[in-house]
Amino acid sequence: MKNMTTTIFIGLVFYSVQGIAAGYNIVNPVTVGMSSERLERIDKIIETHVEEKKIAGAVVLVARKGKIAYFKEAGIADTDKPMKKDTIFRIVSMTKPITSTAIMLLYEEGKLLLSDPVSKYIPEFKNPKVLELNPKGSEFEYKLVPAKREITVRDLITHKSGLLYLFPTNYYKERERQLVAELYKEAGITDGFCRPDETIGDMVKRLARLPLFKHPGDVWDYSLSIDVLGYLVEVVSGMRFDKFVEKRIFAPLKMKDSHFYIPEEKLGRLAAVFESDWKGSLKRTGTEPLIDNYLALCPTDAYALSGKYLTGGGNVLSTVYDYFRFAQMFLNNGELDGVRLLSRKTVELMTATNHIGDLSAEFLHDKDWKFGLGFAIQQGRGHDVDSGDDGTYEWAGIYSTRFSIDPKEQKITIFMSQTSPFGLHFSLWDRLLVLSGSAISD
Amino acid sequence: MKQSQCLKLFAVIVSITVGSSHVWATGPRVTQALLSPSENQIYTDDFPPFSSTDISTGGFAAEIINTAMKGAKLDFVQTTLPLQRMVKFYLKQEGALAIYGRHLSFTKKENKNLIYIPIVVNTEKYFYYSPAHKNELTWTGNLKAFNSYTYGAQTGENTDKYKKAGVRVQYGRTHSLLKKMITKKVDFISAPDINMQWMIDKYFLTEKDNIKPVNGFSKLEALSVIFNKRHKQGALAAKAFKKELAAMVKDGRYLAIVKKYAQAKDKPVNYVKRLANYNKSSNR
Repeated sequence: MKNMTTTIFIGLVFYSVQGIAAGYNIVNPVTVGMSSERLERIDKIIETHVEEKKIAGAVVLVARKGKIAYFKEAGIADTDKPMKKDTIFRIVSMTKPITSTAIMLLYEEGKLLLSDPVSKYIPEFKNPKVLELNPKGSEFEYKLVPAKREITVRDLITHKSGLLYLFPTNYYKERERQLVAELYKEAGITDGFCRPDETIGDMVKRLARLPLFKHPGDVWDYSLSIDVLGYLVEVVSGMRFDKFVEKRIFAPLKMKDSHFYIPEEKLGRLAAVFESDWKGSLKRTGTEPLIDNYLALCPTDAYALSGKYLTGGGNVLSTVYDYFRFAQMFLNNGELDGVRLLSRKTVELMTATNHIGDLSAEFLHDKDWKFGLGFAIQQGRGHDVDSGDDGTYEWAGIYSTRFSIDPKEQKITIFMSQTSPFGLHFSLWDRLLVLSGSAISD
Repeated sequence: MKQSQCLKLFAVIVSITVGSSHVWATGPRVTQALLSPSENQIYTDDFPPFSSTDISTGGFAAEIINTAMKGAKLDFVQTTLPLQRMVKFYLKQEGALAIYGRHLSFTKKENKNLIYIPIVVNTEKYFYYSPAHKNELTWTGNLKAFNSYTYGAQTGENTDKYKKAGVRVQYGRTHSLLKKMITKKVDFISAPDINMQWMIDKYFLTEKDNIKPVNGFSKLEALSVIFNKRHKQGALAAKAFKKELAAMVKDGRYLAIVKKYAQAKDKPVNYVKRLANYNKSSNR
């Protein structure tokens, strides 16, 4: 018994020293009801993926009850540097919950309502029209009909606006989608993964005057809606979007390594993007964009020290630790380290309320995933993914970054790599969630 | 009724009225414009400073049209779209009253149903990016001299003459063409002087000295409002518009608008002269 106590004591000291030495407070998993042995299974999975050259490297964090129980890195961040805990990643669409938070800060100040028509702030959104197909054999393939109603702020934050992203056109083949996507391309609308040389307002004002894919409210479709919200923050707050987020979210949450454009002194910490076929062919991307029909990615844009384009849908560069702080704020019902960002009621509205009715948030998931305000929420287990309890909420980024917040178990899981294409990491992510879930020991 | 009673009654009426208006203000969740779209639609695409949502008046051409239409007592709604293909779509498919913009070409059959009324005659030039060309580009009078170059054409522009001369062609919006020119994927593009200066000032200010006009080339290009005879008001509106535009030129309202937009190197009065000459020469 004495030996056992000594072992536990040494173990606790080891974990504390390890955490403090690295500048992070990593606790012994036992103290937060997690099995360290089981968490170590994550080591093996990640290392195997690195050895098999499926990914170049990754950082994984598992936290429970507000404490970090597992935080490890593996592999390389670039051909000449190892992956580190403080490696900076292009989190791309994991920017969306941050933008949604910015909107909800303005909402809490009474500066906008979710029910407000967007045209109240961005007049170009007035009188929206929807592209509908004409019967086959008609002189014109399509017609434009007045939308049943205007797009609201809630439509944007829940992807029910009827706007599109271009890249899903690679997978979804509806003719209307293709026609709208072609109009987007012709009007110089991009998904923003290659940063255009214009302001987000320039883009949004063009987008607003193009036809919608569906009537607002009739569809859940992953889209540029959150980019529009970024511009809406500028219009309503009177501040540049990046400045607003830095002042109102990054600074109070002490997300010191989160940026819209990387500071020069942190360039060396930015991970490179690797193309993987998930079969052992791993290639560092160069300066050329990665183009796959409607998908255009420009990984090297992240090395720019400044720029005009500030996209709420995908601009942010961040670290696993910073994103943990953001996620923990949500798990704490809106506050972190004594700083309250959002009210408990707003967090409930964002993370525990289905805003899409019978629709499904089908892009990352299949059935039983609903959508809050900026997050997909699991409501039911009729799908094949072992993603944790009902009520778990999450999102992802196109260079294979993901997070999951399980409020019932007070557990956060974050995985970041920089791997393209996106879809191939799903099996690894699913396993990570199984491992972090099955490490719960209380 | 005593004076105090009258005052009380007045106060009650005022409070009911104010209260009602408050309810009205928050009641409807859609705009009135959505419920009552005008039948007389005029469409154009982004072509600053002639038409642009970035300009509070709608732009140079937009203001001329607004003034003429209002002067002719014609009810209408003007909409600036982000791409030309939609402008044509609204005319052909939706039967819009009128459209205007650059490079709007139609078939002979389609033209039978259209009435063209020139509103601005521009000086159009070729522009090139000087760091990409050691020697300045000079116009020799023959496009074949440019057959080793790539021309940046507007989407929808007729490029037959370039292709015939052996000039390679890439298509895009002015913004993307300028970017292609700066990245040396396109050698020269065509635009009215005033449009090019606006684009440079807004998007490419650091390249201002590097984007130069091709020596010795300029041509006149008319921007016309194209009325749709298939629209029930089309022919009548065109007639009234033309009459009012002529009145505007005569009484100085046209010149007053031009003065707001014209650049120092192209005197406002030149626009008036060019429009008159164009109308005379084309017998319009």
